[in-house]
Amino acid sequence: MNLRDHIYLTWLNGGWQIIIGIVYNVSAALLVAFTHSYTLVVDTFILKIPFTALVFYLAHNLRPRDSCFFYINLGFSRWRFQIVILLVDFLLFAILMTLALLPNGKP
Amino acid sequence: MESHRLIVDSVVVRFGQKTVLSGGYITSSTGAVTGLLGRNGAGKSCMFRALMGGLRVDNVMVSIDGKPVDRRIIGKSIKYLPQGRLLPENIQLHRAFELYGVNYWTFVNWFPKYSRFYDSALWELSGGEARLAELYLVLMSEALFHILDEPFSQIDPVHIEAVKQLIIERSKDHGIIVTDHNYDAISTVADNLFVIADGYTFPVTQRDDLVRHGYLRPQ
Repeated sequence: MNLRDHIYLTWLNGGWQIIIGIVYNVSAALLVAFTHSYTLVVDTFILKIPFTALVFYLAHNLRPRDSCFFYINLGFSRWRFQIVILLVDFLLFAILMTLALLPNGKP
Repeated sequence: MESHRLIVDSVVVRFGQKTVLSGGYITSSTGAVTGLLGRNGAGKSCMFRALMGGLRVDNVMVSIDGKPVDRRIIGKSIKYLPQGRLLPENIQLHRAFELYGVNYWTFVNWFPKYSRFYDSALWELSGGEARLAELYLVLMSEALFHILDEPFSQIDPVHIEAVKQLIIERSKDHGIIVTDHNYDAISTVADNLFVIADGYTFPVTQRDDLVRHGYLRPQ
């Protein structure tokens, strides 16, 4: 199984979670870019934690009960792709926040 | 042909105060079809979901050839067809076959109507059509053992015989466990039978065993 397959499987597993994460991250980064506020970075990060937890809880409960076996059959643990989505989401948040602050330096 | 033996033992499943399985057990060997019977709610699917790591359980021991199986990568050794939908709704059928390493056109040779579903997403198929594709995928993908949870449900009656034939052919060099409510279908393909009753698994050697454990009515 190659990298393309892994990306495809991650997208299949939680495509809409990724989209929601991107929307949140981009919105937060735009807010920070226009206000140049470090406090807002901390606030959006603190808000992101329960927001992400809620999205993951909904994803877990709305997904068909047996769908995890599609991935288990392929030799992956049931949580693997969720962890990847979580990591990518927070990594994207960090990158966008850095970009939002970079051109302006310290407020 | 290399021979392997799967043993699933000491399966304990509780939901709150309710104990579904107290001592679930099943075994399978290369070259044989093992049938698992049990009434609704007896714990057949729970046992399979437990052994595949899709259900949090109090206890389960899984070994192949006497060695414990790492359940984080159990799918490399055992493929499981659950009762519910296996494939994501938006996956294209040929993509699912690619990921599972199964030749789509051999499948079409068995079931010619699927030639037109090559590019179809799963949601475009009826429940029965999707079920047959999932069944074939799980049965023909590379693994030592295949577990089929109610493989005959939703399948067109005209395809039942083909499915039985596929299971029997595949069992020549793989171990297969099958459960279904269709006792006649199971009994014709299974080399050995078990029944789950009162939280435990019992071997079945004659029809009276099924009557004694409340699965069949006395004739």
